[in-house]
Amino acid sequence: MKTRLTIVASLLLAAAHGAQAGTAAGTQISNTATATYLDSAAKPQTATSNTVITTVQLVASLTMSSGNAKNAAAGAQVVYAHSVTNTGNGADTFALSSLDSGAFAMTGVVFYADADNNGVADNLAAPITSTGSLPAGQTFRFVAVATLPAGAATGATNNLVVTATSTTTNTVKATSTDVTTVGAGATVDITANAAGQSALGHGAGAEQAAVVTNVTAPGSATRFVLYLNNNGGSPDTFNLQSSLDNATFGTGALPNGWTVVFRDSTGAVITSSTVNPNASNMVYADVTPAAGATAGTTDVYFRAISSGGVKDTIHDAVTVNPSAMQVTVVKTQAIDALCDGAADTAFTSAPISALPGACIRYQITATNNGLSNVTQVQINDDIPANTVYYPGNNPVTATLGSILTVLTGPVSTLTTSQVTLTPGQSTTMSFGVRINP
Amino acid sequence: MIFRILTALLLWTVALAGTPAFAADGDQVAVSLRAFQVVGAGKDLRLVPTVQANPGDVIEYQVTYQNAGKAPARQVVATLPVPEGGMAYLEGSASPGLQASIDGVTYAVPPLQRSVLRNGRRQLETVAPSEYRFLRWNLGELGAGQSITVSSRMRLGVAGKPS
Repeated sequence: MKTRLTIVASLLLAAAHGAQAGTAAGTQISNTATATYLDSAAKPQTATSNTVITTVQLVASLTMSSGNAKNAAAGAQVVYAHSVTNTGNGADTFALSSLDSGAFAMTGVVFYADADNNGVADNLAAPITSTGSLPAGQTFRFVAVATLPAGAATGATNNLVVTATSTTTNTVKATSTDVTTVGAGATVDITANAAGQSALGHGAGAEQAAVVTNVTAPGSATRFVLYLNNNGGSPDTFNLQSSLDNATFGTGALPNGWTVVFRDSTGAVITSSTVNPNASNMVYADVTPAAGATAGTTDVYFRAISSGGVKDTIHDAVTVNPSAMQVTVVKTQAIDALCDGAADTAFTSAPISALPGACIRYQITATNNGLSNVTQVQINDDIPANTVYYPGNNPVTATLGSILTVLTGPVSTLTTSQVTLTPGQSTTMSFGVRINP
Repeated sequence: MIFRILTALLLWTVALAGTPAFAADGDQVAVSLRAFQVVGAGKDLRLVPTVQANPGDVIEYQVTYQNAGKAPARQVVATLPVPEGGMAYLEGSASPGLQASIDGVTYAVPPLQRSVLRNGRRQLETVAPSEYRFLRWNLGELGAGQSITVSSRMRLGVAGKPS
């Protein structure tokens, strides 16, 4: 026979959860039995037992996060993030240790706390050998910093087994394995305004001529947009430097009163940049000529160099013009002999020759060379005499904003909508014309 | 004269003490509770007296009811709580005749059921044995000098896992 118990379900569920919670070490569980009965006078009586107390003991238990795999160059340093979670029923301290195996051994493995979980040691002056007392349910985060031997062969692999051992029960431990493969070293190539091999400044070493020349007024900052391209097999950190020539970085002072400040994409001031393999980092170089700078052009070299000596330099220049505008506009042209909308040659500011009936592609680029936004930037260009607007397969476009000109019927002037340019940003209007036959 | 009266009263009292009616009182039934850790299994199973436990351990509580009086105790009802702090009743581990309760008020023969409101409809569901908070046995009459022992096993919850 079953008897129904009609009770509010939520109260029952609460009780159930309580019963399923882990029991903390040190908890004292008391129990007392009772009996009720009728004595010979039919009088109800209650008898109570002794109280039995059971004390819950500490049971050590832990988990570790999974290990990771990285490529690094011989002699480089690798940092692996780890965590230990105390899954026991009381506070415990876990000792940290490591063991190498594989084709080579690390030259040193040191643990550091990483409380903010950013994968970087909190304090390199304070190595650790244990988690310290870790309450039940809590997680301790740390990093293992190891250095590859200088002679490690490319392709060789190291397995670093990181172990956390309970100090209350030393048979209870957890491990996490990091795998390091020796990769080709990092490389660096600084390019201007874009990343990759087609960008200005691509190639090793400083260019003979400035790849970008910014025009600015005395005392007015101008921004160069640099890309640090790492096409190597390992990440690396590059210190950022500037100089008046390509030989005296660090001592080659800029003209008196000039300053150079490097910034990351968020605008934060930086002095170095870490670039992953097959990746590029954008870096701003903000150059401010002295307030009293005289008119003229000054070469400026920017260099990225790692602690291992991997480096590249880009050659730029600053033209000081007391009447310089913050926004520069450059117009270039290229032949489109078949009038198919595609330039047959590279765009150039130099004169070109074309036959009657051929087409010409134009690009007009407006660039904000200052350190503040410029608004309501609008590109206008008249269709040259003896030509007509000719879209071919490539009508007029703008990389920012839109084209305002109505393209039905004769077109005399092409106009973009107004846009805002952030420091270093450009917008380009592209179109084609056909030379009257 | 006074001495004679006191002597008479004393003799009468002693005589009454020998009758069942006088012997019955709240101390007539002695209750003794013991806790054992259940070690091993099958024919290797042992019960080890314990005052401590690890999460996951099974504890067997044994309660002995001894009628120390000279008259029977009737309608004896034995109650053993499932203590708070992580203990959970192990289904089927109790002595025969078990009744269970989740509130100490309403008892029934397991498996317990309760009525719940789900999606606007009232329905019955079975209560998990781990939710039982009280165990009870109706032992009936316990004769003078007679004793009876009931038992039940409970498991101490493991952190992060249901008991």
